[in-house]
Amino acid sequence: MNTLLKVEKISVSFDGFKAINSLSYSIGKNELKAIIGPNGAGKTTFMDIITGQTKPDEGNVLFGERSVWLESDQKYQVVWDENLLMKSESQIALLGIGRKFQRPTVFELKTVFENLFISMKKNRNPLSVLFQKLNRDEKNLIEKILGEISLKNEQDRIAGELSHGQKQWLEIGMLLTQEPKLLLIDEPAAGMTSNERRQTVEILKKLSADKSVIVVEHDMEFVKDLECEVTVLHEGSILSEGSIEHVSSNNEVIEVYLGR
Amino acid sequence: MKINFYIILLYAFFINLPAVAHHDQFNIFLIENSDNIIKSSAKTVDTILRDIQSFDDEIVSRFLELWKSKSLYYIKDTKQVVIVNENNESFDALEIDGLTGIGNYTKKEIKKIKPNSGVRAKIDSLLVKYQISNSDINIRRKSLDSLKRNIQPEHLAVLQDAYINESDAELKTAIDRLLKFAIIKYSDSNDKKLEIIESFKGDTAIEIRASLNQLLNSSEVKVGISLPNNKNIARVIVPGFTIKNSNGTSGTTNFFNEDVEISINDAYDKLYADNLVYKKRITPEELKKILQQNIIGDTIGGYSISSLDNEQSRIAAYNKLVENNLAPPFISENKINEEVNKFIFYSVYNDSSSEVTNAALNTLASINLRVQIYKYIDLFIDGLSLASIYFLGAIGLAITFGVMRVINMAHGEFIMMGAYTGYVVQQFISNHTLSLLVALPLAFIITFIAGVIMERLVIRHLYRKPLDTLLATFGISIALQQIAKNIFGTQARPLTSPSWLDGSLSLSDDLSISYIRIAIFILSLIFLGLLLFVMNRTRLGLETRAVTQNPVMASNMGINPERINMLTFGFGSGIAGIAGIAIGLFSKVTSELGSEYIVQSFMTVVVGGVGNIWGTLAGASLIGFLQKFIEWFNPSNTLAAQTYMIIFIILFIQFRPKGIVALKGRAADD
Amino acid sequence: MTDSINDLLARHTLIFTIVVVVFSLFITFFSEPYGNGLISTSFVKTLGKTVCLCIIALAMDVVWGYCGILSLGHFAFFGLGGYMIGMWLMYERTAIIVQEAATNELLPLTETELSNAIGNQIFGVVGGYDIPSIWMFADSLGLQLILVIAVPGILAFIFGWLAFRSRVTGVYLSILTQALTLALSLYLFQNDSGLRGNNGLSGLQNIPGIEYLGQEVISIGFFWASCIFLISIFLLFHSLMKSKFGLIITSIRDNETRVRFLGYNVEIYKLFIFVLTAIISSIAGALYYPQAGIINPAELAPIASIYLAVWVAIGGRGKLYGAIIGAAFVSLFSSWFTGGQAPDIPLGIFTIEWVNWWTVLLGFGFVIITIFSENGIIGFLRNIFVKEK
Repeated sequence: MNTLLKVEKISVSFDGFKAINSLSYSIGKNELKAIIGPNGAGKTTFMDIITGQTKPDEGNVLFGERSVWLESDQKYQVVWDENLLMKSESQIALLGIGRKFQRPTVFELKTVFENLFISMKKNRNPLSVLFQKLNRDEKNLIEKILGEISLKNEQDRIAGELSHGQKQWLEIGMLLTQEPKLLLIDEPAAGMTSNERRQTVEILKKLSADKSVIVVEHDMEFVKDLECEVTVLHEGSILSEGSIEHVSSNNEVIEVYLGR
Repeated sequence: MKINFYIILLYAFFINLPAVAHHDQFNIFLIENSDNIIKSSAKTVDTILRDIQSFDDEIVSRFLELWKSKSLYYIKDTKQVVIVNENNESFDALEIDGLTGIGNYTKKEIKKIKPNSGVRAKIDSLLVKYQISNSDINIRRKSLDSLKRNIQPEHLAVLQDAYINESDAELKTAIDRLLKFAIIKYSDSNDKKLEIIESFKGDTAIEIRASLNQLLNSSEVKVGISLPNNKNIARVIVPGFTIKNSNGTSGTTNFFNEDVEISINDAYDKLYADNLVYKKRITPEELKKILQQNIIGDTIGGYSISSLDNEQSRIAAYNKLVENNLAPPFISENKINEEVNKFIFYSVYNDSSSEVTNAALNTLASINLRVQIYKYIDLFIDGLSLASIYFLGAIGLAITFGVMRVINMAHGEFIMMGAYTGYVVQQFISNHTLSLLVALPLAFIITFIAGVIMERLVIRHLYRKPLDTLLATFGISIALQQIAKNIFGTQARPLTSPSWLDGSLSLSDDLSISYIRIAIFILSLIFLGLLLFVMNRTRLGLETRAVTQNPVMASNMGINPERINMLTFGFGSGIAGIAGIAIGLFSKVTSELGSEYIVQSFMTVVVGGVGNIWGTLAGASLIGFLQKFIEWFNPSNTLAAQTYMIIFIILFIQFRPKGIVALKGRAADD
Repeated sequence: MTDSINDLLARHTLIFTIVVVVFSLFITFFSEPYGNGLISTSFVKTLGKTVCLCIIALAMDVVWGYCGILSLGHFAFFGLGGYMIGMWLMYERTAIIVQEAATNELLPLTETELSNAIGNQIFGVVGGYDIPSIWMFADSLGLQLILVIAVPGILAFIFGWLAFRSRVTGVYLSILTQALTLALSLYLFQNDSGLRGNNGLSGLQNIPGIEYLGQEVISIGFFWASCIFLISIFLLFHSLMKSKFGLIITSIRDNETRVRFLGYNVEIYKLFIFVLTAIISSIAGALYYPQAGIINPAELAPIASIYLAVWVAIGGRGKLYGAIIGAAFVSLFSSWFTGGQAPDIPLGIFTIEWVNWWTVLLGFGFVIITIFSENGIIGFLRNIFVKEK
């Protein structure tokens, strides 16, 4: 009933190398989930598929579950609003899927404020963009988000001058102005100080109050702090799923992470 | 005279008695017929030519040759026919054998014998008979060649004899073939013709096709109420609609040929000329002229002049003139159509036997099928050589662009430098083979150094910015081009290939491959092999691939990426230099040589798939073959072919942005 | 802070407008028809042409400097504009000449005779007298002006749509645009292209209907038209790039993928810029070639488009006035050096003749600018003068 994203048996291979192998996955509304896995497990490819950057060889990616009352059968029928495989990256983004990249990707030559202004949820049609100006409400929203990501005093600075951690936050802030339903966050804690890390955990937890969030990490400690359901990926398929305690006691997981 | 006779007798006695006896008789024959030889006419010559055949072949053919070539003289007093040697102001007269002196005469005492052209033709056709059976094979060959050029009906018998007597196999075949052509052309026997036409099936020699086409010559346009029954009809002609095919049949207009055999207007004029209609067509020009002759004030036939700015009103005014008997009646377009449609237009074959012409059509079709196949093979070879050239031009780029992802717009100028190196070396070493052997490594070294310098001074600073590299190397490109222009001038410089590369390997009349093309093909194969070897089997190749894939890791492992980049760039440039010599051999060396190839070279690399030598091969093949294929549709317009080829490539890239040999995802390494 | 930047930019446009207007008035007051004739008509034409080159440099700067598409095909659009207007100029003028000649005839010409006579005049050089169907609108200035916009617009749209849709970017796109340019110029080089093959169109300086004005007046007219168009395009681009639209365009240049993941249809934005700049280039060409008097396919050769990129790079990309300075600077210097006006430099045994060595200097100079000053002359000057910031 409240599943937001459902991935069904997707597979993709690059020149014979199976990056994703018959993977199924789903996340509900306002849920926070984490995906971990060693390098080459297929985490980034998985994200690429959801956001439309890579098309899988087989399988389905569905978004936005709804129940519809069927008069004829006198019962509810589950329908999915969108099949993401038919959409381009920008269309998927407009549906409400935001993505934060592994390396912080902000517009380095623009100010923090401009970065958020571009991300603002508004008509993205070029002709209407030509005449778009900020109104008071939108200005307030940006102010609010700047507060959430602790960049209020940096709003007129050029994004390229920010520290690594600040850039990560700015990128999350950009996702927030987009007002997405689902956030895909790739290694948010990479290169952060422990202080920044703690702050990031807080931000992510707060986000999951009214959004679904998938965090991809390979740092077990960080994932532990998130206190959410964890999926372990290995060689393109799911190795184990459950709480962090559950997966970290799984022998296979231990072998993948520590063995070899 | 008498003394001479004894000398000859004596001489003959010891050497060759029968010949001398003949010679003697021949001299008598000459004296008897001297009047007719000196003043020959087409009428009198026949008897002489008939009688002369009873003499010895050698002397007769010698005599006829001299007679024909206006080398005979006669002594005015005695009317003796002689040949002369000019000796200062006087002439030494000799007998026809050229051995027996007769005496010394002044210029006034002798005169040249000048047979007219009719006589010469008759002499010639008899001479042929002697020459074709001459004991000297060279004379036989020569006479056959002259026969090929001008064969006459009377040669039929001569050729038949010659064929029987000929001992040389090659010549015998040639005589046989000529005989066949002669029969097709002149024989009255349809059976013989049919047999020969049948035997020509599948033989693609141009002379056979010419002979068959000649057999299928047809008349001018003829016209009648209906088709004649007793004629060998070649084609029915629909005025304004049908075209004439080369084999005498008719066809409809098409993309390649839009020229109708006869227009409707011309057909009407033909009817008028043949007295099949009685009113002459008035052409627009004539109409205009007559109108102009009948201007009265501002009007013509009651119409104001200013209103006559269109065909209809002009015709109306003209018809007014006709009403007043001022002009011959105007034939309307409808009327012309109507009249032309009443008649049937056709053409007949010159050969009256439909059996023969049908057989010829049949054989020609079978030959054309084979010719067509040869043409496809030829097209294939054309494509292959163009592909080789593109491959040579692009292979250096495949390294610098494909492996290092560096856009080098000056690549074309490296090709040019190579070509000029070849040219300069030829100025110092005149032996072309040797100069080529010196130039090839020298071109490699020079462009290698140029490439290394460029990499060190320019490219190194721009590795992260491909678009800037493109522009900076363009700057180098225009500078190098201008420098070459300043040094060598704007005129094209020749890079002459060694003589063993001239000529071509001939497989049939329609199929020959020039050696230079073969050489370029082999050279590109060598390049391919060399490159595969360097990239896959040498330390440099291994390190290059390592640097391409992961520069940080490579440098951690002790590979110096800077050194590798430098060497790779130099290597790619050096190959461009060698390619320059190859390209220079078949096109003139100019400062713009490189820029002519640069866009195609880039497209070759992009179409093939970047970062892969096999991809470059595929790209060059696609572009080369495609261009030749498009040219084949419209051979006169290579510019259009190039245009369409580029448009095709642009479209191709849309659907396969990564090229033919595309590498997917993260595995884009080897 | 943001406001003060906007003020500065607003001041820039004002300064720019004033400078161009003053410059135009200055030229006019020294011209032959309206002043003391210190500036010759041919120099007025050179300046007018340079202004047109500045306009296409602006377009190039927007498509490359702002949007990051290094198009090596914009000069082809420029040439197309020239061809489109040239068709009308040539047809109409020939028609007038033919009709004048026809007044001596006894009968007025029929349409066929007229078109044959015009066709013979125009296409005699390529051995024909049929007027090709692409000339069907050549008798109407209005329609031909629409074609100035439509032909490059549609070509740019089709090409851009195909290329952007299949995500061809960076140097690949540059090579592809270069291929397009090559295809176009090769096509025009053919005699049966219907545009007179390598003869091109000529006599374009004679404007049908106003021949009585004389070249000295017409040249001033075109000069003013070019300047006014330059100002309007500068203002248009300036306000466009200042808006959110401009923000997105430069973001696409900096990180196309990010913009795409923000939900923008990057392809449409690129297409918009590509087509818009193609059309502006074409209009600039339509203003340029009546001043040049002749257009032939060599004008559209790929190298011309690369030169265009060179101008923008030398001036300073990503800044509108940089493009203008680059185009004016390089094209005026080029004509000064290659025109033989520059003094040769004797070096004892060898004399540097600028006619031959200017291109070498330009090429190497350009390499140096690309390596050491990414933002061209503008960047260089800013580094020197704007230290306090």
